[in-house]
Amino acid sequence: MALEPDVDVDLLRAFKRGDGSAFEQLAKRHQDRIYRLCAVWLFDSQLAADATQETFLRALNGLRKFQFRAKPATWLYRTAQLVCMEFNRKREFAPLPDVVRDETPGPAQQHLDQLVLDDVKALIEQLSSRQREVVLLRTFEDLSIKETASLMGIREGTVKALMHKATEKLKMRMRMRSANE
Amino acid sequence: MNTNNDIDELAEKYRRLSAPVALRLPSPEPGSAAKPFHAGLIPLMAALIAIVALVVSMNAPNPGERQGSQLVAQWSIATPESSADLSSIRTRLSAPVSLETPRRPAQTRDVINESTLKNSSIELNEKD
Repeated sequence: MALEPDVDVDLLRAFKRGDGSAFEQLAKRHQDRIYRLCAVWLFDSQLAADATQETFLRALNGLRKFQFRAKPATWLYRTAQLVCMEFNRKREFAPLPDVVRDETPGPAQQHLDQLVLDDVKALIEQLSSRQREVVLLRTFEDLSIKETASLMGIREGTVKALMHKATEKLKMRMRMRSANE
Repeated sequence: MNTNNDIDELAEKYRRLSAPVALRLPSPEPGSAAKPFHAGLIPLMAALIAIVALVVSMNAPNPGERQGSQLVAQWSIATPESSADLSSIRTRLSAPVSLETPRRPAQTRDVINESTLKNSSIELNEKD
């Protein structure tokens, strides 16, 4: 699941020239990834949908001034991260009720999504925030070390080191879970 | 149980997560796309020209000064000899000035003396 940055750049150039459909294509290419990342950062599938919506709304305005100093995917990733931080801050003051809303694709699917998120949460909650990001991008999103480093704005060596520590922690946690079952 | 398989299985489940609804994005406004470079430059150039015009107008003489200089120019054109007069005055003014008082002619002095003497002798004779 490579990022294919050239495609993103071409779509973004078309969008900056006034092609609205190019932005829709860009959003379709990234919305699931952004949603998954938001879901793990927020641990709430519905809130993740709202955060994804907000990320792309900001992108609609922000990407018009994009100077191509970074990759569009990196920009989206960073924006999603900021949006989730804001959502988490707001949630601290006004906790949202943990209910499943009746929206497409249906409450049942949302419930399953929530179960997956709970499983992911149970797996990676022991990791530091940077280790969690590396695991999400490298293992869960199946990005290369280079792409993970690019998205996180760190060096490839740092990605490898974080990945090694995170994997050791995850294996230990999985062994503990298996033993308890 | 292989822990790596567990992680992979969970990752696979995670990858199946997809945004539940289509994004509700407003359609981009027509003409809201980034303008080409030269289009953005036009207002900048207009502002620059306005600033230059303002600076030039601030340095230009005020209307009174302009009117005065125009009158002087007109006067100079109307009286072309004025420049010659001015130069002659300048020449005279620049000439060295003698501080010595002019002498009276000697003859006149002598004549006066003799006549005075004659008159005085006449007077004496008459008194005598």
